Amino acid sequence: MSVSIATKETYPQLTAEGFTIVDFYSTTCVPCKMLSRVLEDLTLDYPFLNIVKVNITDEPRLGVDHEIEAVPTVLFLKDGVELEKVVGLMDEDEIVEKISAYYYG
Amino acid sequence: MAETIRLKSRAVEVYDFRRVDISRFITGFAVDEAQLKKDLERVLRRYGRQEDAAQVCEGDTVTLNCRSDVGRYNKTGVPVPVGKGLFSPALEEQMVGMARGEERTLTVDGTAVTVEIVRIRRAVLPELTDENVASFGMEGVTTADDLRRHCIARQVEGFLLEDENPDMAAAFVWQELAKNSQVERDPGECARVEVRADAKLREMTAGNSAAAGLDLETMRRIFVTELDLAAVGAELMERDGATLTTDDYAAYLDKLTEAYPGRTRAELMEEHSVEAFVIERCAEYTAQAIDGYVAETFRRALVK
Repeated sequence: MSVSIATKETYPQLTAEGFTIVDFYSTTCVPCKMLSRVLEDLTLDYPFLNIVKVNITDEPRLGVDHEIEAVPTVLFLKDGVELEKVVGLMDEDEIVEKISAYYYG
Repeated sequence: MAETIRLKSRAVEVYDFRRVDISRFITGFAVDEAQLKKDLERVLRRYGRQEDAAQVCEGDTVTLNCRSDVGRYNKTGVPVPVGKGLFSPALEEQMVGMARGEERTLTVDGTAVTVEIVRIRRAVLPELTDENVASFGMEGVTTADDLRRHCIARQVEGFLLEDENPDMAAAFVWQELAKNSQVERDPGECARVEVRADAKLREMTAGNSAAAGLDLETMRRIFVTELDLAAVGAELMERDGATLTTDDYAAYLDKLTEAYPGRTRAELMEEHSVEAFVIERCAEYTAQAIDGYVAETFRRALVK
């Protein structure tokens, strides 16, 4: 698995199967940059994770579709179905907790 | 064909904000040695390799099949990083020492879980030597010391993002720049920002008459300062050869139209006028230049 950048065309396919972490971000948002680093680090520790990033400036339609009101917002999905939405910066421990609950749950 | 759009207010004199001394704000940072160790290991892992192993050790990623009456422990082909505690700390601890292909019934919280080890993957990390680091091909990183500094620089980046001192330094530079630059304000743009200040104040104080001591004069001053810094930004853009065009504005409106499908383009243009767009973008340009100066100064002082 890896980190993929989604467009409105590729999003459904990238999130269709298994456990996925979706990061809605914008390039000018400082907490988004911090979260991006955390996610990048996690892919080294847990290479089986599927992480999908959506730049809401480039893909506003995806932002509207998923009712994203602030960035960063993280969605945890299983087989394309939303399990939880977290608005705001998450640290590594918080994300690992969600992986433990949802990937293995 | 795209036309250049310009701010009408003009900076007659732009203060050299790189002369502002921000050294007093550079405090409160110390290298987190535990994090540094973790970050170094992550870099090494990126350039390391994975190999199959015969017996489970902590740190391995094991693919396993497990059977149990509890749903969580009834899976096939599940990857588990052993020792991280994501799947089950107790189960992961008991798996250490099991061999590939081995099946064993373990106990987790009084529940029997039969575990079969399908595959064991182990990360083989390169040693932290100058030669190995040079072979990674990381830009500007050719020795083990460089790599250490690279990882410390990451901590400094985190500090720049999280700590309030860099923000305070940027605010101070912003203030000094506005105070010491000379701007000829366009009356039309001045009137426009005052209208925006009024609207913003109404928005912020709606239903809250005691809204934190905000008054119209303060709000107008904030918006006029933004206009001044936009004029500085326009001058900085010109020096850098950067421009704003009608295409940029059209692209901005396209994004808004996509984000608000119920609104017409004319409505959006009324709310997000080209004048407001130019002020906002030019002020952003100044803010980015200041942030760049602050970050560079902090980095130079802290990455050793």
